Amino acid sequence: MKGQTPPEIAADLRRAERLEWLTIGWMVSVVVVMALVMGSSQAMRTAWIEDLLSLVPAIVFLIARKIEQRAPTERFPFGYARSHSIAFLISAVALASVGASLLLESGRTLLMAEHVTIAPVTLFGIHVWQGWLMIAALIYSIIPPVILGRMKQPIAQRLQDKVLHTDALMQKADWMTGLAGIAGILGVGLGYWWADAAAAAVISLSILSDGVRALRTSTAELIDGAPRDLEKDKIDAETAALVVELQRRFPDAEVRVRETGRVIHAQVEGVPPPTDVALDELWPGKPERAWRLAQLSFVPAGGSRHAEA
Amino acid sequence: MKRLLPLLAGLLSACDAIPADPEQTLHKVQARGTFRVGIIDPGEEPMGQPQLGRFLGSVARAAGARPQVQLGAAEPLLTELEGGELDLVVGPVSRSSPWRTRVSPLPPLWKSKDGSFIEVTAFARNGENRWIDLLYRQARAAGSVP
Repeated sequence: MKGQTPPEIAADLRRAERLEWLTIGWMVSVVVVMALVMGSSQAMRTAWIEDLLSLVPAIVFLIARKIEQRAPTERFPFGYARSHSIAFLISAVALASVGASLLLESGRTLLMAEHVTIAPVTLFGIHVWQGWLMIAALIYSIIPPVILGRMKQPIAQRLQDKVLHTDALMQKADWMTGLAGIAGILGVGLGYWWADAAAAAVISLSILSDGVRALRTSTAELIDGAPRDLEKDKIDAETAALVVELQRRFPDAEVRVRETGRVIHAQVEGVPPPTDVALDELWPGKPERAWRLAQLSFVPAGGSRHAEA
Repeated sequence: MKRLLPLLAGLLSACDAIPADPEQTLHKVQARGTFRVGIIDPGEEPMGQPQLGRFLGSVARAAGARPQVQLGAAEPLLTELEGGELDLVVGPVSRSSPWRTRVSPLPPLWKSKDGSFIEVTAFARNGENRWIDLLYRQARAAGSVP
């Protein structure tokens, strides 16, 4: 028996996989173009490294998808759904690293008062200020993230997929960094040596904030925290409603929920299990989202050594 | 269309101002009528002298300024360049010199062929992009002729 994907989300998952392959292909082209024009500019080198890091969420999403579809084994009797959670952590680290490296690099440039040299280059016998080539490369680097990010967000919402959501945030980081880079190079071109670093520092705070929030949510998931909202560091509304519904049905029980990848596992402790349970009937939200409740387990009274809340 | 023309003219003139020098090096050179150049003492074996002479002459013509020459060792001259007390330093420097990141090297005027990795190179202060743009063109032309 292979790892089961709920049929309700199979089409969205296939769409997400195609988008991630497109992301890898398109962003690799951006990395190549940036490498050709970055010259000795530290700011462009930083942008290039960030574009490389932006590949991480797409790659780990595809790897996790391959792994989570494997059937359970004797060594992994619960299957491989948690590979998605590991992918989320790796993506969150990549996003936070992009923000942190941008902040450190721009801070260093401002503190050291580094004046950026952007020399001309000779192309087909014509002298061109390299800044114009860098701006052209940065404009190209903005286009894929804007398009791909907007395509990924609604799918991430429907799938409640935090890796895909983090990847969409990474695309946002990409185009914001690209815009900051363009503003910075124009500023340097006009004689304001601090423009590039200042723009990057401002942008980095937003990226770092998104990265830290993703890190907090991913680590919460790995230590069996209650499912978090995609956008904010708070318990997801559907989860809160599920807990209320389960508490209503089993008022003498202790109810716990945790997230495994995209799905929720609920545990009811202290009451005997009913003879018949229909997960879809327990789901308090929209019926098309009922797939999120993957398992309901019952623990008899005294059958757990959990600390009491 | 008529409203766009002043905007386009403004954009074109802004493009013409790019790149600019944060410390106004080219502007000061043209205002003074001289550019302060440090020549690194080549020692007993002068290297790349014809190219160096051609380079300084073409810079003088392009900038409309005369060279004000100062001879000396590499380290103090490059330090003065980094601090803005010189506009240009030219002379033999190793390809692995750490100065190549502290100041801006231009296309080499002359390269050694004996495996010593010495190049006669002109250096400008980091970030003075308009001045560097002028120097770059003259260095490429001077270095291309043996």
